[in-house]
Amino acid sequence: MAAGVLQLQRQLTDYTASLFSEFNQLQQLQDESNPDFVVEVVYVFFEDSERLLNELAKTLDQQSIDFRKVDAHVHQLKGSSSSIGAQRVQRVCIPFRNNCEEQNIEGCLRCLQQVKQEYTLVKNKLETLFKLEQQLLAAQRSMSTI
Amino acid sequence: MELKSEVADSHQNQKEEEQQQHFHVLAVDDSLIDRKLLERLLRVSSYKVTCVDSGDEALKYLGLVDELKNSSSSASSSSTSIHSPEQEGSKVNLIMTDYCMPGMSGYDLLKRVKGSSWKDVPVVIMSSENVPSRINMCLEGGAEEFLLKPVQLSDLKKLQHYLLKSLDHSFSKTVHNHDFIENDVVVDSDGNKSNENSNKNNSNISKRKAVSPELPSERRPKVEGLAVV
Repeated sequence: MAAGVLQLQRQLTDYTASLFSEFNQLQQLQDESNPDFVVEVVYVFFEDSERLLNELAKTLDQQSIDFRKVDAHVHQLKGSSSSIGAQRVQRVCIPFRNNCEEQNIEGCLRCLQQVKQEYTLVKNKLETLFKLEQQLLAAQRSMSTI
Repeated sequence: MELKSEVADSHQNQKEEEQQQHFHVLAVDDSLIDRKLLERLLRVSSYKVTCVDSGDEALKYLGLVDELKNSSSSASSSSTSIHSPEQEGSKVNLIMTDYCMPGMSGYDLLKRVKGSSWKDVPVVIMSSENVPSRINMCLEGGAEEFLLKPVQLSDLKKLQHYLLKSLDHSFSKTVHNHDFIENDVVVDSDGNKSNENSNKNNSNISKRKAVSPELPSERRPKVEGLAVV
């Protein structure tokens, strides 16, 4: 049983380390008094991002595209992904904004696809992280009741 | 040098305790994520935080909305303002605002604050974009500091300096010192009560990072309630 916990622990440590540079700052803000801080913020990020991605798809689907609106959404997404440490998402927002400025529809649509991909990637990573954490917690709990 | 009743004392104590142990930061940002992060950063650094999501809400909280309508020069603590500082129970020691917000920008808010009775409160502007002309404009407009997002814990260390400065000016709307028995209670024209600031407070503040500002062992509850010289 102990070996199982240790293994989970190592898995978690390794995984966290791989996300280290991105989410380190977030992790630092979590402590015993606010153990759910990271999860809370990340879920706000998920909701926010998904809303923005939907808005982007809608706005780019119009007959007459409002590029200022598109740019405003991308600016928001860039900001929140940067704040949370999702650097790859943030990076894709940069050419996205350039395309908005140039009013390049194709460019925007391409960027939207890329942003979606990067977002999905980071979402999966984070959900895996949370799952690992929960598994570890559960294992630790079951150990302590023995 | 008023002697107050004990009942009023203990209520006042609680309010003053909250005010006195932590600097109070008003955080302004339209992004929910950034508000959450900033709030956490500030709490971890032992500051008290109030978050609002727009410049308009910030002005309301500071009680400046009435002021604009009436063009009066004093901070309005009139009955029409629900968010007046006294009723909230806390003064604001520092304003941190995002630059890019729909409606009123952080720069607009800065100018409004600097043109009001809150002009001595340090204002810090944050932005995710590194635009030198923007930074200069804000600093020239009276901002104490311009921080690039994402804001780090280490950035907040810079802010301590401005808060200490505001104490040196014996700014009546800042932190009270309750570690001394002797407190002069001053009632200013707005009906705000404040205590004279002291050096002891400064040394507590500089230790703020390492030690929680709460120093219960130094408080002497019995005498605290009395405004005594």
